[in-house]
Amino acid sequence: MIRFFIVLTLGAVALSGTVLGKSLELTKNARSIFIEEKPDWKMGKDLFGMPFIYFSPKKNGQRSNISFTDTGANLALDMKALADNQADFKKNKDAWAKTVGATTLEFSPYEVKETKLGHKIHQIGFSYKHENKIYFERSNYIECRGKIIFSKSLRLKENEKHEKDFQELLHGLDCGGV
Amino acid sequence: MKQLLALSLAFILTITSLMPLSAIAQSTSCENGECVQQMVDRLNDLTAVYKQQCLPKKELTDKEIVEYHEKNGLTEQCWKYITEITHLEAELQKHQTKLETHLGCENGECKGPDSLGDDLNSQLNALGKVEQGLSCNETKKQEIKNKCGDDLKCAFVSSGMGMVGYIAEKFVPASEKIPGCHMGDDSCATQLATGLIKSVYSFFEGAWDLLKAGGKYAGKKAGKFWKWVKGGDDHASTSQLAMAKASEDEGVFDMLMKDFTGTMSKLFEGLVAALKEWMKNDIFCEKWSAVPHFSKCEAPAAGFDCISCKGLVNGMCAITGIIIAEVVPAFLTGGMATAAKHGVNGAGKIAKLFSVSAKAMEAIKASRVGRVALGAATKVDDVIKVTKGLKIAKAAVEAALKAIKAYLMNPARKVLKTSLTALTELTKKGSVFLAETKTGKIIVFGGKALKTTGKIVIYPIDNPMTAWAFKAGERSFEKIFKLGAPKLVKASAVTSAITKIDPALESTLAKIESAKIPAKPDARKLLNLEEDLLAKVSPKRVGLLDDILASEKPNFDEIIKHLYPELQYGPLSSKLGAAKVLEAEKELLEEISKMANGPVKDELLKRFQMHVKSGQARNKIMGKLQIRPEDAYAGMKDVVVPEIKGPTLAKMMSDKNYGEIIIKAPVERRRSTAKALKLLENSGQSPSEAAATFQKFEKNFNHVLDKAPADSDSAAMLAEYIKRQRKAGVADEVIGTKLDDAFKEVCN
Repeated sequence: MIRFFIVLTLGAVALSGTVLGKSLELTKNARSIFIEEKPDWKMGKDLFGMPFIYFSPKKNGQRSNISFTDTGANLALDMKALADNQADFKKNKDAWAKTVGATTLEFSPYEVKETKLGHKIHQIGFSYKHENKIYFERSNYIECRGKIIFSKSLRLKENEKHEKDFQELLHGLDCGGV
Repeated sequence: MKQLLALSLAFILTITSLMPLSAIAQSTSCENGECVQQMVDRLNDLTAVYKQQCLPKKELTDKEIVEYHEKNGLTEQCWKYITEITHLEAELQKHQTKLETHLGCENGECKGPDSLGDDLNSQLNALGKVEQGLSCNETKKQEIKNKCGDDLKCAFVSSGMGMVGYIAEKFVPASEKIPGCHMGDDSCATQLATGLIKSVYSFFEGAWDLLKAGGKYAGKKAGKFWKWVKGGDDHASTSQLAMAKASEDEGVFDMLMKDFTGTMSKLFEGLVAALKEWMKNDIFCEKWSAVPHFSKCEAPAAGFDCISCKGLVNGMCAITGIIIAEVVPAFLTGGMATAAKHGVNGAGKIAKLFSVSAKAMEAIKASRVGRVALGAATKVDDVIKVTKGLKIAKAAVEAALKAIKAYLMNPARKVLKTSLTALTELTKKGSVFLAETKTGKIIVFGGKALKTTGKIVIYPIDNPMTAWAFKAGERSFEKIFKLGAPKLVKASAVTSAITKIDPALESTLAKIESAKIPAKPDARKLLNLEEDLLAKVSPKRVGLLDDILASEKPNFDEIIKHLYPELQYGPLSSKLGAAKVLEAEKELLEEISKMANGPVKDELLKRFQMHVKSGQARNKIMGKLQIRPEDAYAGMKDVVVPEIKGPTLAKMMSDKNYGEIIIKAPVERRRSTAKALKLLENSGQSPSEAAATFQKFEKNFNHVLDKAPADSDSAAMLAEYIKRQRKAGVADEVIGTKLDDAFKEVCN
């Protein structure tokens, strides 16, 4: 397999001709994507092998976080196939939950959304209980100019506010440097 | 108290007589001094008894002790005590030497902790070091805990070096290289560290199977999407949950954000420490309060605390995959913050988060790590068992040595040693004799002692009594000493005269004396000795007797005992018979009678008469032959009894001397009475003397007259007997007594 070297560049971008605020260029191996920079959020790099994890301010004792990773895959996702087989995702997550001592609660069905810049986001999520805390996690597979960008968001149930931030970040994502 | 001591001693000596002196030590093993206390107890008892019975009660100086023994000698009983004591002391000192050697000491000085040898101290020191090396004390636990970081850091860094690409670069900055850390040394730790690193960093290293799809993502392959993304998606789930939890602590969160690599190294340490706790308190827990793995572990597995981190990881080598798959996620999501913050100190808390499948549990139990821990604990147990045994032995040896020392320092023993030294010195100084007395045998040291011993038999001791004699432990004099021929302590005129004719007879005389000492003498032995003496003496007896009688103060008893043994009316007399005895009596009497008149002769005659008076012993041998009137008559056939006719009787009745005597007698006995008076007159006595003699023995005459028929010559025969006795020099009192005894016998 040929490895694609991606450069994700963090920079300021203008979306639909409207300047919404500062942007972050996430660059890895010469390929970049751009996301909105949020006040008081912190960007972690190379944590657990993950190139970028963006952390919210602390709320209810924890920081919510969302990661951005270039999978290197170059393909267009088959929505029907993903929808038909989403039970696999559920099965995977039930198994994963056991490995960390968590219990899955609810699953958010697979759905596809389109960002402001016209990128498709394939979303699926679930909630789980871990050490008496309930988490909401969502996997986002973004079709970014033919490349698949993976993003996962995680928050405490009570940090619903950050869900909005996550959606803003995802919908504002610019695959310009990919 | 005295009785108690005597009883105690009796018991001691009884037991001792039943078994050899060393039997105490031999009957049971005395390797660790087991026999010592018993020996010391015996010694203390013996010392107390010796002090009480063999030395005066008052405290004596050393000089006075010497003088005391010089004057009083040493009884055989005391000899038994002191030889027993001496022998036991020698045995005790042998044990002391052996025990000191066994303990690793010499003359009270014990070997140092680094000494080598098979003695107890050396063995205990060596085992102490082994135990210290194996035992899991708090110091060692801390040492292992402290070392854990370096051990694992090396593995962690080595793992980084073993990987390619950016990970290696990130994990091994030049400054981070650890001296002496070689990858190859820690393959198992490296394997685990690599597994952890991969699980943390493998987002690009294969977890992301989506790449497998390549450009051919269509049809059936499209349906596998969720499976392809599983690795990457799950990794992100774990990592992001771990970071979300880490963010609860700003310090930990900052640490990870600023130096994730460095923090991971610390996390690795925490992981291993947590694994150790988990295995100790869960997987290998030896006792649960209720349901295993779901209740409290009441007996954590021994041996884990002191397994080094490297050792633990090596033991888990075969199950690294299980650890990574089933334990690490829980560690990252639940224990990372604790591990990052507290390192190995958070192990207990983190370990509680771990939970694995039953299959994984079995695999872990079957892994080498359990055997390693169990092996360590078993080794410690083995060493402790051996050490415990040696410590018990050491305590026993020390107690025995202490008992010996206490005995040796006992003040009573000092007196005893002084006494022993005094006795030894006295034996070297002069003649030593064994004296036999009625109260027992005594060792006397010549000079002063002999002067006070009186007339006893002594045996010169040919070989001097030496310390060897004491040490030999022989408790019977005869077994120790080569005794010379017995002697009499004091020579008398009689014994001197006898030994003059034959010096060898002194031994015979002494042996006779000795044979008479026991309460129940050996009659046969005595008889043989007396016969021997008599055989040698009798041919020259009259001459010897004359010499003795001519001496200044002849001793009648000595004459009888040594010169005329048959006149002791014992077994010898019986064997010889009455005739021989009578002959001897006659011989003795005649020789005494030949002496010049004077007080010496009178005394001897008196003693003779007293001696031959008819006592039971003599009567038994002699019978009543010589004093019965009939026998007397038979012996006096030549006696002419005067005839008394009527006119003579009348004339005598009117005589002023005889009249009253005759008239007083019954009519039928008057003639017999007159015969006796006339016989006395005919033998040279005047009528008044004859009347006086009759009156003196009137009781005896009346006795005869009462028993004899009327007109009998019996009274006259009695008169003849008296006359002859007088002529023989027998005192009237003696004659009277003899007659009284004789009539008493007859009447009875």
